[in-house]
Amino acid sequence: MLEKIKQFVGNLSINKPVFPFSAKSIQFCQDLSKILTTDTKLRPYQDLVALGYWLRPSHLKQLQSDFENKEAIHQPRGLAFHITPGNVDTMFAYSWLISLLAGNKNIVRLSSKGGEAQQVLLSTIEKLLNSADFVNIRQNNLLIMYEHNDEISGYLSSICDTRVIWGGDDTIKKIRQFPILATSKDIVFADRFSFALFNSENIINSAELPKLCQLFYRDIYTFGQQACSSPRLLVWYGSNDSNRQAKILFWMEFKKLLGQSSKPLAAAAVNKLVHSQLMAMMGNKLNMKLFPDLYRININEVSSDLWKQHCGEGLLYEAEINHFSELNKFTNTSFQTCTYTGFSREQLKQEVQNGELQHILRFVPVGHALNFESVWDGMDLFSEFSVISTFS
Amino acid sequence: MSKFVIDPFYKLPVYGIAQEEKECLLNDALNQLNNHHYKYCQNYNNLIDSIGFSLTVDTYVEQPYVMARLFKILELKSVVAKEIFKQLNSSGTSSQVVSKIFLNAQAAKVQSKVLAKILLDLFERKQLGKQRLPMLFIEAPDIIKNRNSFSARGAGIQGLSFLGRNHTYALNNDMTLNHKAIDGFIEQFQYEPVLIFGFTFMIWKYFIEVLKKKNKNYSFEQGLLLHSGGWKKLQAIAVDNQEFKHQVKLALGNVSVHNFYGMVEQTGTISIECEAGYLHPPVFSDILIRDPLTLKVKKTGEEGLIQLFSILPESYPGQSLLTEDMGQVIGRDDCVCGRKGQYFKVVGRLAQAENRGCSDTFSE
Ligand SMILES: [Zn+2]
Repeated sequence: MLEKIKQFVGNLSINKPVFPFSAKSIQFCQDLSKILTTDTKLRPYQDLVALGYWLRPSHLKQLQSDFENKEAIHQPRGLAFHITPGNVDTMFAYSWLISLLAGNKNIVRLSSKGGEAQQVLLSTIEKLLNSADFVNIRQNNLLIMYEHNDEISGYLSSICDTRVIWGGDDTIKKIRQFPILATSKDIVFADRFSFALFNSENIINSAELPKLCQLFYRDIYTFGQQACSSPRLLVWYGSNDSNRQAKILFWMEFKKLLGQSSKPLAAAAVNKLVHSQLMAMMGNKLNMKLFPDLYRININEVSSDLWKQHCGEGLLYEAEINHFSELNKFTNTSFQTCTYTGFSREQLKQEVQNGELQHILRFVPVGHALNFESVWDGMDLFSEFSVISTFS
Repeated sequence: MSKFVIDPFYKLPVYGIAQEEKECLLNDALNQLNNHHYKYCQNYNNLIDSIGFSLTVDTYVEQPYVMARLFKILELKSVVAKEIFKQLNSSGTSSQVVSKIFLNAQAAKVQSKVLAKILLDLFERKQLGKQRLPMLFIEAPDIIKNRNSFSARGAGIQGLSFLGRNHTYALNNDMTLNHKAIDGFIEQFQYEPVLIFGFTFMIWKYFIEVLKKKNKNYSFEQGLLLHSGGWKKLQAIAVDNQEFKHQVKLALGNVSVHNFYGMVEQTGTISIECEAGYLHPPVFSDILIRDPLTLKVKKTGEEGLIQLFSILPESYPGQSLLTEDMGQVIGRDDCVCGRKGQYFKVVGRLAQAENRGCSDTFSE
């Protein structure tokens, strides 16, 4: 494996230079998009369809014009080494394709823990890369899967211009043992946790509760609630009365969705039981509502330890607040996404500017928790994958 | 306090109480233990209050239970630090996390006493007499080196060793056969009752298979082999209980082989496999089968999670544990072996849920 990688790297310098949003890279993304959105065999893989939709021509055009309208001139950083996660099957592709569009050469290490969708996507990509059209892309991009190996990780770290580390705190710690060049940089994605913020008043008066429940269901259960942006806590905002009332209405409606989807794993149910007993033993006053596929646990605060123990698969902490300032009991610097309903974007912006809702990197309406965006974890990835030249 | 709970049970026959009466006796004892741990273990107290379990209940089904896995995460104890006499650790082969069980002097004594009572009953049934038997451990002597912190394997050996004499270890510390020790043991005890003990997979891998390869066998005239530790690894190489027994007999002669089921969280109250091949909980313990999804109690013959009761744990809240072992109750009071009470089978471990958290990239 190392020999193959070294040979690939050796050839990089003789290849023709690449540029941001080159015609070939755009065409590659468009072709991939077309396959992912039209091949009926891929229909069952919702995340592949979502990737295809993200790569649709109009969105690529949008990304390109955003990129080209940046004030400073952005140039590719060179060779990017991506260590991608196994919990979201499509993540390697987002990481890679943004870097590709920004004009970088890439070596992408895929997780051997990836699911079926990752396999399907990988073989689709390989087929495309092997067509004569994309010789140039094939020469400059290598997708590999290897078991944990210090020699390979160390070598790639020592020669890359950008190192991208997905996979959370432990992976970051592990990979940072391997030095990179002084001029190189790390783009890291730490462990992150996300929550939902519901405006109770709004829920009570909502005529679209069933729709809201479906969207929230999608946010929770996609990727087994194990993505960084999957909501694990639901915060109800309002007066005590309206919080109480909204919860009753919402859960009455939401319950209809339970038990209908694919059968919950026994092991997942047991994991949730262990977690809820752990919470109880640690002194959290729990008001548990248990269904095999959903454990609701009322809490007053969350320690950062508990976030790390959260097992996903339909385990939801629940809390009520009267003021935004109370959110500090739950959030910390590891927070990422706030999935909201019943607030306007302007209102949330105002709160952030007022110093409330601290640490939160991303606000999206319910139903969009898992949508990938090129600004992720507080970083504009197109800029991160570029060096900036200035002129005076 | 547990002295009070368990005392009347010592006088009872180990397998002579019919299920209905047994449930009444145990339920009473469990209620007392629940209240004891509620008073002395803050974690247990939190659990009961927070989940809304009742401490004093009428039947098994309502007994509060603790997820056994929590002993791997928290240090659960109902004694103050200075009273801790011994700490037991589960041997985590597949995971690095181990259970930690804290015993005070009395709890340790009770465990030994109960284990002895259960095994003496078996010796009697096997007509091995009441004296201490020569013992052969299919283990290396290293296993009991650290006297203050025992692994489950070490604890098993510790617990059993006082029932025997002439303790002999069949393996060297590098897990090769100690021929000298084995030959010496057979020479001395070939014609008397002997007790052989080990862990299922280790017996197979480091003893039976090695003897087979070397074309070597022994012929004990009257032996009893007790083994525990689960069948998972043997199932993987297609060795079942029957084949195991057969090979043991080929290697060791007239040895009756009995599997037993127990966990480090409830050391002492083991369930021994009877002549018909079923596991029997002794009078000090019992099981309940729960559906892993609904947690409802399963009927006889239905598979589910094994909930284990034991009236021994006094220094830690382990009197009612929900394990991640799958099993089924086979029947009650009517096993052909003649033992009373429920009898059961262990089917295996619950398949682990896939954990693909954000932070998994390099944990593989
Ligand atoms: Zn029997």
